[in-house]
Amino acid sequence: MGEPVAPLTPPLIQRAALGRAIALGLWALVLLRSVADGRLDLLLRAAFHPLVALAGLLLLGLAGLQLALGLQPEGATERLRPRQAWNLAATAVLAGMLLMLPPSPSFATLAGQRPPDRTAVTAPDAELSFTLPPAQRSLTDWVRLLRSQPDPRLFDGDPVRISGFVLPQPDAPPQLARLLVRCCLADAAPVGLPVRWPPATTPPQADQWLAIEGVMALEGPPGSEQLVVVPREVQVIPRPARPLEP
Amino acid sequence: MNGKRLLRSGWLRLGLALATPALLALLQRQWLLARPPHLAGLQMVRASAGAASLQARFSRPMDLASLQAHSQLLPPRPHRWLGEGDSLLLALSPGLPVRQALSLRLAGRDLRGLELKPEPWHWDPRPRLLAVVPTAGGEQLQLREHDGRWQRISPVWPRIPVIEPLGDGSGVALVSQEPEGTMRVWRVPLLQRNLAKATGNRTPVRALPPESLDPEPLLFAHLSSNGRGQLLVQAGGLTGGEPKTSLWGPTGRPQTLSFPSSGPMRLLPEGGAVVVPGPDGLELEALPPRPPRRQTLPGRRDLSAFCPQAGRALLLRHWPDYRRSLELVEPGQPPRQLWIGSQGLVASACARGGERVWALLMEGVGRPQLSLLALNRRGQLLGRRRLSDWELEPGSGLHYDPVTDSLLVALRRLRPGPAEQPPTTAEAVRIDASSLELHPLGQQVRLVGWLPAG
Repeated sequence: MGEPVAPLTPPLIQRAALGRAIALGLWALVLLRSVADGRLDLLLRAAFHPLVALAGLLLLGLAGLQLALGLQPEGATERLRPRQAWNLAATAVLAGMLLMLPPSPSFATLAGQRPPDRTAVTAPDAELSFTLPPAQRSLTDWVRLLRSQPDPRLFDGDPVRISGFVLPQPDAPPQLARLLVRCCLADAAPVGLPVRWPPATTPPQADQWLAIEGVMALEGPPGSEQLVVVPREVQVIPRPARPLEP
Repeated sequence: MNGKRLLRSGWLRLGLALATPALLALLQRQWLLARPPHLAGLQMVRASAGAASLQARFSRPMDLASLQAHSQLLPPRPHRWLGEGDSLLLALSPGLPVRQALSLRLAGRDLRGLELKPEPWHWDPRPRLLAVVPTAGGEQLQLREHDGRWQRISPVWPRIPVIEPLGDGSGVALVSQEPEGTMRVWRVPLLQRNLAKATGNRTPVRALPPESLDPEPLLFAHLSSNGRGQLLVQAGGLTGGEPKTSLWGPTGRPQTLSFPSSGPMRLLPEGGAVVVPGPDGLELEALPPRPPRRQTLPGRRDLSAFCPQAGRALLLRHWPDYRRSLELVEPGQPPRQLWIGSQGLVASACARGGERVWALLMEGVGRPQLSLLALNRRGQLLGRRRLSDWELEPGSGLHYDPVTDSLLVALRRLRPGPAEQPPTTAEAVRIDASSLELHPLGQQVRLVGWLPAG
């Protein structure tokens, strides 16, 4: 009977524990990354995401244990057999590919694979919307709209079809105006829109009633632009029977 | 090679490791494929077009034609199954009022041809009537069961100037007023069961003790609710300052909203947005968690009523010459004028997407005459009823219920003789929405409303 032979410690690259540590660690990273970057949202309900994270942490812990085992001289005697090495390499490559080239599921793909829900009680296009096409807005509608949504860029280029009387302005071209009634006639107040009057024509006379078709345009330096009506057609009209607009 | 050696073989172990889960998956698949479909969920949903609707969720995609052919409603009434797959909608066709609870027998086959085990259900989509009733010591909120019995569901407060049934039927919000004028907002949770297995017990509505939504006394409060059971409370404190607007969900703490308004805001029945009156028009503001979005409808308009079909509403427009017009708003369309006149338009209501519209008009001074108009979506007159013996209880509104095809209103009987006499107490009146016939319910009330079946 001879002396017992101490098992030889294989080199790092041939230690089975280190191979397992690498494979398990990579899969742990795959799971943890899928939780962190939101790809799981399309695959699992949010309630189950912590489970995936937990599984990733568990795998990471196992990888850590294998790593510790592989680095200890007495625990690193198990040598990688060729078949085991191939299996570990294959799974590690797969995990590595998932980390480097993550699948990118899209809502469009998901939606394409699912039957449409035709029972939705409220279709998105059936929501209440307040619409008043620009060409149907009266002069007072325009004034109210600009007070409510004062960003003039929203209305640049909108078609305009309005009527009103000519209201002279001190140190400025006359405006087209109406009387705005909030409560009753006693509180009627003039409101107007600036007009870029055609240069070749004579300026309009005060109190003259005009119908203007044109577009809204921005005027003024950037940052303090103002909307102005650019007429395409100006027509003199008689005073309307109901001159006050609602 | 003996068995032990074979087991030690890596190939066999790998094969076993792969084959065992595959076999398990195959067995599970076969077991699931052989299982018959079952009903996974059934709930009442807000009917957009018909009288009432149920949303059914099955474990398997179902054959629509088979469900339509084999399911039964008693008493029989026209209905349609809509949708595709495992989530289907049962919609009662409009036009035939529901006068009693329905028995539903769900039966049919799934797309594999396997039979659904028939299930009998009891379904009562009819809303109950809510009313503020004058009693000794003040006013009280009461609920009328389908059999006509009245049930007290709140304590007696000196006054109850505002009630708002929660849109999902889970309760009622109300404003109480003390004799010195201060107000408080309350929510009365209600337990009601209108959809149950036919074998289960049917219990009347049970009211829980009222919950105070704001401990501070208030100067005024407006309420609005939507089909999700959310409640908007717009309130002004006694200490002055800006009115506070809070959005209460069915549970949890309220969210504070900061939309400046010039009047009472109204939540959209389908949720997700609120209509805010402003000095220059009506604003439609998106509610969190949606991104902020505002649409403006310029002009002097008030929101008069929402239609049952999502996205449709009636607006009251005020003209400078004191005329008023009633407009129908539809998605993507400018408001369409249905009626214009110099009478006072005191309330309106709407069926489906505006197919039928009712307007309560008042004209004259001293002893104003009340009349009810029925219009179609093009503004053509369908019917008119003069309510010459009645006047409207201020603030009570006109409420349409598509399930029973009824209008509800609080009206006061006019006393014969000079107009200076003290008014009588109002009573709850149901109006047949088709014939416009009045059916007084014999109960004195201050305010009325429908509590949706939840």
